[in-house]
Amino acid sequence: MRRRPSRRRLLVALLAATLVVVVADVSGWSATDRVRALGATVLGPLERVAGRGGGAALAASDSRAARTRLGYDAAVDARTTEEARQLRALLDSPGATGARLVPARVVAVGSQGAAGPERVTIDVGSRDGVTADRTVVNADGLVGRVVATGPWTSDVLLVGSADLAVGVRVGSAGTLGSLTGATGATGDTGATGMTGASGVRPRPAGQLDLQLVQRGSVAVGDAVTTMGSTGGRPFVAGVPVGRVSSVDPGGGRFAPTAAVQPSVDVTRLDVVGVLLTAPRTTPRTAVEGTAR
Amino acid sequence: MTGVLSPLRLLRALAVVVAALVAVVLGARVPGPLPDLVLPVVVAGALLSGPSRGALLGLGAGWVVDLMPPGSPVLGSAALLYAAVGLVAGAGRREGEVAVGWLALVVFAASAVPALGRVLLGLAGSEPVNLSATAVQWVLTVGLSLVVVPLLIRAEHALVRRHLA
Repeated sequence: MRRRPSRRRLLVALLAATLVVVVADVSGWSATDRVRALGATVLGPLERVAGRGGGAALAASDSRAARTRLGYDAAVDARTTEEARQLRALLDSPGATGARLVPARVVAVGSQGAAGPERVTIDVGSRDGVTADRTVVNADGLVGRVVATGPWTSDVLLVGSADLAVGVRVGSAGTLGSLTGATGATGDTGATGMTGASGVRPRPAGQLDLQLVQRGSVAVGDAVTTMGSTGGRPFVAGVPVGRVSSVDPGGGRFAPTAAVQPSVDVTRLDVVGVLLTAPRTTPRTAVEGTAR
Repeated sequence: MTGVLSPLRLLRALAVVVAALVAVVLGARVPGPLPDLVLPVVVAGALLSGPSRGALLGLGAGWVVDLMPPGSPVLGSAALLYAAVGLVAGAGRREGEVAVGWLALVVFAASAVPALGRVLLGLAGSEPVNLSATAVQWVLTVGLSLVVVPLLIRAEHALVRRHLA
């Protein structure tokens, strides 16, 4: 019976320590990243082993096979064939044209948020040249960005997570906007003076919030692509993100808001690529002005 | 049962790590909601050892969940949630055989803790809350726990008996 108070004391001390970590993580103290990295170093290799077998096609992409667009043996099993097909689609996609990328597979998916999964683990890490704040794409478009790396695995924050904001260009005019995971019915309508029925409606699951940051128009069906960041980190320019699915009725807002259907289905991710450089744009030749 | 590294504790720790690992790996293969695999381990351990030990077990299990890549959005949040699960399930400890009705009640209450916790955290962060998916996951977790928890309890009893013999 003498042990009981000391165990309670231990419990209270550990709970308090955990609470400190929660507060530190919410307030963005970088020491918690080291704790995560420790977990990734120890538990990441377990996931790589326990995750999907396969990886043969991705390993082969390292060699000459990639340059011949995977001249792949038809005798490999169905999983490797599917992997090779997805990798070929990724390499052929416009977001990857001319870019250097590290192919990877999703080996683990974290707990589901309201709009589906928010974080996934891929089977490449700092030993493969992946660092934090790299863009992650698949054949359909933007998947997310790398937020943490271990030696053998990296964690990716997905499009649709409330913590991920992407600067985007909308439509053929390239109007600038900001894309975030959907906020609920309690979205920030107060600050812009919107009231009552014209307030932002809650989005269907999986849709993203688009807020234009300059005057311009937005129409249903407009393509949304990344605007790009300095040095291509965290986002390279020109990666497709999705299409505008509905435009909110405006009322007192400076610029319109809209819902965007992402082009990537984050619930069915398999082969992805971590972009190390931006896609190559078409080179332009210099011209000379003609005076009359 | 004394000592930090008793066989029972090691087995519980192993069960927690395997459950957390299988949960994230299955998540990459199965689209749609999955039951919580760590919760039955915590509930079974807490039902046998009482609230404070149950809370300690839950805290440790939650830290494994927090650190298992890709990790929780907020580090330490799962640890606090599972500590509450261990506390609730441990409060349901009874001497002797655990009746099925009582077990169902304890499982129902304990699995409500993370479900409600996630909904409240989502609302606090003004994120959209997918109530139907949360409810489906809760039902799946309760169903799985009703099957797995009696098995785990029986296994622990057998282990303790053999250890004492």
